[in-house]
Amino acid sequence: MASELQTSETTGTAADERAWRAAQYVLGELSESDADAFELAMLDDAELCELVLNATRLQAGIAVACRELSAETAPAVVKLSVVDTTPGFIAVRSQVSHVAVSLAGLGLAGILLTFATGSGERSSGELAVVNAETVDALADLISESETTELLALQDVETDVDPALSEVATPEWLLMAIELEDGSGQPQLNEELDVY
Amino acid sequence: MEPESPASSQQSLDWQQAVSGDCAATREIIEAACVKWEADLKTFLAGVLKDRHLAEDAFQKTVVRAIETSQSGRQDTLRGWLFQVALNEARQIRREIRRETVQRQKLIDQGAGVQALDASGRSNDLMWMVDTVLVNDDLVVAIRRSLAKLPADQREVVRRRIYEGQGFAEIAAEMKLPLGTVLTWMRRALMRLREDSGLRELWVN
Repeated sequence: MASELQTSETTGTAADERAWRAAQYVLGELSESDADAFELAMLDDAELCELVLNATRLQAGIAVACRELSAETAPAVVKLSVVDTTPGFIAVRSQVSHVAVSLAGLGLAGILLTFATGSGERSSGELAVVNAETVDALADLISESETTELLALQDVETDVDPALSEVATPEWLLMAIELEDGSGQPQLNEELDVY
Repeated sequence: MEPESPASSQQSLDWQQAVSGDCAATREIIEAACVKWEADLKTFLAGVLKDRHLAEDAFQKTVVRAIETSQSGRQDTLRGWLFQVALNEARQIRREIRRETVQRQKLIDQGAGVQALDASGRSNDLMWMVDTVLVNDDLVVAIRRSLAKLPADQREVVRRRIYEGQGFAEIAAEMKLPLGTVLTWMRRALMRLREDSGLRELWVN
């Protein structure tokens, strides 16, 4: 009985050792010479190939599972599309686009003040985590007409989460823009050559 | 090892007869087998080459080579033989990449305007696993359940190594643990995942 147990343990240990070796091989943990030796062993050992197959499948599954878990536990964000730009670059937009960006910025401040959190989903194009302090800071910046600073942070496209786009911009925000420049026309900021 | 079902047993017999028999029948058997085991072969090749695109190339070459060399099949089983052919094709692709890398480096050293290629393919970056379609949703769900059953420390080591791509030495430093402990936890965690009943069912099916 003892010898049977010992054999079983030895067999189990040997099988585990092979499986661990296969896992190390897939992880890229083996040295070049060891990996080469392992591959030569696989050429004559169908079971070793199966262990590599299972190790690959398991590790790929773990990677995907971890990615899903990471996305689910991410902090609440407001989904916006972000276009990567060179730091400091300010997009020169057409008159119409600039007004749209200003409206979007003001609308964003209003919406953020209204809603506590956004969607829990993540996408690869997220901007940043938004909290109450950030909202207040944004509102201050916009109310002082320092839109150039806002634009300098990122080149923000006007595409927003469909859920957010369903929210109408409050009338008072639109009126605030008109009252600010007095004429109701967007004004050119000569320093930065943007409106 | 893949369990020997009645269909597989019959296939082994067909294979052994075909190797010594009719070429057309052999070709049909091999083509059918490549279709049946395409996902497994590609997954295996991805594990060898660490690159999805190279695995796809290697699979195509495996099918062609298998048909060309069917009469010289030596393995007892068709599946084992196809994996052997696939591995040989993968090693050939890697040799070609290395040869090209060496030639490019020579040209670079001589001052020619040639860009270097990536390294030999032995990368520690495991993001190719995430980008590939090597796993189905059922398997991911089962793995998530199994991961949840692991002790938190083992799970963290697994996550850092496989998902974050950290080396074991780095994990040991950040978690303030001996390297041996980290390696042991990784090994135990993978063993527990392999032996998890929920995952075992999926392997068999």
